Amino acid sequence: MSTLEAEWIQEAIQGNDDSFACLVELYQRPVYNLCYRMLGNAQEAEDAAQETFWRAYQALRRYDPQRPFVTWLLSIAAHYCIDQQRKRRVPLLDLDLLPEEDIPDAAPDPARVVSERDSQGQIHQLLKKLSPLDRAAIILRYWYDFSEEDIARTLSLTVSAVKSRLFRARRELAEKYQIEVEKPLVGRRANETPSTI
Amino acid sequence: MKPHQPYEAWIFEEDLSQEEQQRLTEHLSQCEACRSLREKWLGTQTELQERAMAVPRAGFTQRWKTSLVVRKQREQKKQAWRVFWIFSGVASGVMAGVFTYFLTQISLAGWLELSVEMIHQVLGVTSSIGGVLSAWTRLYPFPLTLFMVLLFLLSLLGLIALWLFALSRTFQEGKERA
Repeated sequence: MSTLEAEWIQEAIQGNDDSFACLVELYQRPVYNLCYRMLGNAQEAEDAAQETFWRAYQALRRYDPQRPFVTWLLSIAAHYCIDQQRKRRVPLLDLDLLPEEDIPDAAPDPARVVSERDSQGQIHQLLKKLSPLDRAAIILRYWYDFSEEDIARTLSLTVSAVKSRLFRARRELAEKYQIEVEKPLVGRRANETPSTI
Repeated sequence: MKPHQPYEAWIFEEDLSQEEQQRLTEHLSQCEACRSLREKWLGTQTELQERAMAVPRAGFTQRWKTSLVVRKQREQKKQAWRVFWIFSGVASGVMAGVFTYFLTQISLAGWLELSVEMIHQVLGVTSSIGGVLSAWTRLYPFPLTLFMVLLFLLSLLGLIALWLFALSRTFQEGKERA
């Protein structure tokens, strides 16, 4: 944690809303990304991210400075999204509302962009099939490079529970990956007409 | 033990020892099912490792600042209601306690006597007010209806002034927020 960040946290605890807004600016992306990957809908992700920051704002006095601030925020976001998923029961996924993606090499190659969006869509479809806790574990592992210990701390689980959840989720993803990869190809072939080529 | 264990678990394991890795390779060369599972997993893993970070719409922090004001107001209202309900609960509890105490201390006849006495007192006070008012109208022949109308108009004006004041405060807060 940088000195500036620690300063912002301290000032925010003392009631400085501008310092907390700086923390929002700094962490909006990781929090939003987690919410988006968990909920699969841009508007719901925005609401969930805003709610996460509100919950953090209210619980700021209970924050343990020994723990990285981002981990604490992601823990709040993950728990909130898991609750939302459980309430919702039937998962909704709005792939048309895919937000702007941060692609490392942003060369203006439409085919490449479409292909990358397709693959992200496939990942979304795959993630959707996992239980909320398994999904959260996978997202934290692959999007945030969290260790099993970090995931356990973030999701309030034991390390062995995280290991078994990751194993189950990876197996499920592998089983369903092939089906998901083949789906759009079949769809594209069926929709292809001379005028679209 | 399942026939493909521990190899199936090792396919998804990230930190395998050299010996485990070697045993897994040997098993994969003989087992078609595990080989297929491994290929599927490698494909999925590649997709997962090419993950992209989703970014919110521009102006997220500004939206946060705006929502913070609203959320704080909502929280204050909630807090006020909470305090109100707590006080109401405590007051109701105390009243219920006092009532129960008196109910056990005074007999039914005593209660009836007390009620009659209270009704008598209320009626006495009402008739006294009526007497004062009639004496006043006799002394000053100012029509009572006109007095009531004036009182009503004054109260109405007071309420309108209060409403305008509240409205101006709301506008001011809106301007400050903007």
